[in-house]
Amino acid sequence: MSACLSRSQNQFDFQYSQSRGASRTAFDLRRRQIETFEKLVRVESPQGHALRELDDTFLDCRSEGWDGYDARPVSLHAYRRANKFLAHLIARFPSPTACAAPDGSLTLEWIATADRRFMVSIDADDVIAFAGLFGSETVRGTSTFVEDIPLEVPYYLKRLFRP
Amino acid sequence: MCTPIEDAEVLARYILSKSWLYLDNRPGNKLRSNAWLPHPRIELSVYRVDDWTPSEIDKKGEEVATERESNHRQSELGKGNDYPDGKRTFKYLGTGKIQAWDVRRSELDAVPKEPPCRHADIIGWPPLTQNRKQDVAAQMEYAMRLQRESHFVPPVE
Repeated sequence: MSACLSRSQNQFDFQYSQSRGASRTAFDLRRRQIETFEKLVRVESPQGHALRELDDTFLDCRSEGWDGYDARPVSLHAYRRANKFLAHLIARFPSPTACAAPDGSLTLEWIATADRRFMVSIDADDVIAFAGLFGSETVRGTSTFVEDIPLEVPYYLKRLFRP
Repeated sequence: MCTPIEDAEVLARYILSKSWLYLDNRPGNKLRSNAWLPHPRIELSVYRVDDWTPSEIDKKGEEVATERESNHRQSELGKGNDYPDGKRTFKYLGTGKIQAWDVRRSELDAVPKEPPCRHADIIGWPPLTQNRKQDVAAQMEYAMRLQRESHFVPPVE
C-alpha cells in the first residue's frame, strides 16, 4: 500500500505514476491524496484576500482621476506603508478589505457588522487617520505610524471584534 | 428644479469605479464608505432621482461615465500617454442611493446645485482645519455614516 503514496520529487507535481499499488485500497488512497493536494494548491491564507486587494487597488489607482472624478494617485510609498501596516495586524485580527480614497491614500477597513466598522487611512506621511463606527457611537483620530502600530488601532479592533 | 430638497427625496451617487464597491460576495451593502468621501471639494456630488425611472437613472449614469471617460482620455493623451481607441477606464457600475432624511440624520445636509440639471451637493462636512489628517479622519467618520444609510443599485441592463 505504501507504493500508492510515492510521488515525484517535485511537491507540486501530482503525477502519481510511480505508484505500483494495484489494490482497490491503494487506488482509493491515491485518488484521495491527489484530491487533497489539488485542494491545497487552490487554498489561500485567510490574509491572502486583503493582500491581493491591496495589490489590485494600488495597480488600479496609480493614475490621477482613477475614480472618474478628481482623485489623486496612490503612490508607491503609500502602498508600501499600507503593506507594512497590514503585516503588523494580519495575524491578530480578521482580515480587512483594502481600497483607495480620493485623496490618494489607501484605506483598510475592518467590518464586524453593518454598523460596527473601523477604517484606517494610510499614505506616504508618518501620520495615519482612523475612524470607527460602533453602533450609535463614532470615534476618529490620528496617530503616528513609523515602525510600531499605534496603540489605538488594536484597541479599537479588539473592541470591534469582541464577542 | 432648484426647489429645496425634501426629506423623503432619494439622492443617487453615480459609481464609476469598482474600487468603490466591495468585490467579494459579502451580503448587504456593496458600496464602500469611500464612495461617500468628498474630494477635492468639501461637497459630495449627487443627483436628485426621485421621479426618474430606473432606465432614466441609468441613462444619466452612462452620460456621466462617458463624460468622465472623455475627460480622462483627453488628459492621458495630453500627457503623451498611449490610450487605445477601445480602452475604457470609467464605466457606469450603478448608483449609491440615500434618502435626504438619512443624510440629515447623519448631521450633513443636501442642497440643490445646478447646473447640471438635477444635480445636488451633500454639504455640512466638518470644516477643514490646519491638520489634513484630522480632516481625513472626520470625513471618514461621516462617510461611514452615509454608507450605513445607503444602498447600492446596479444598472437595470
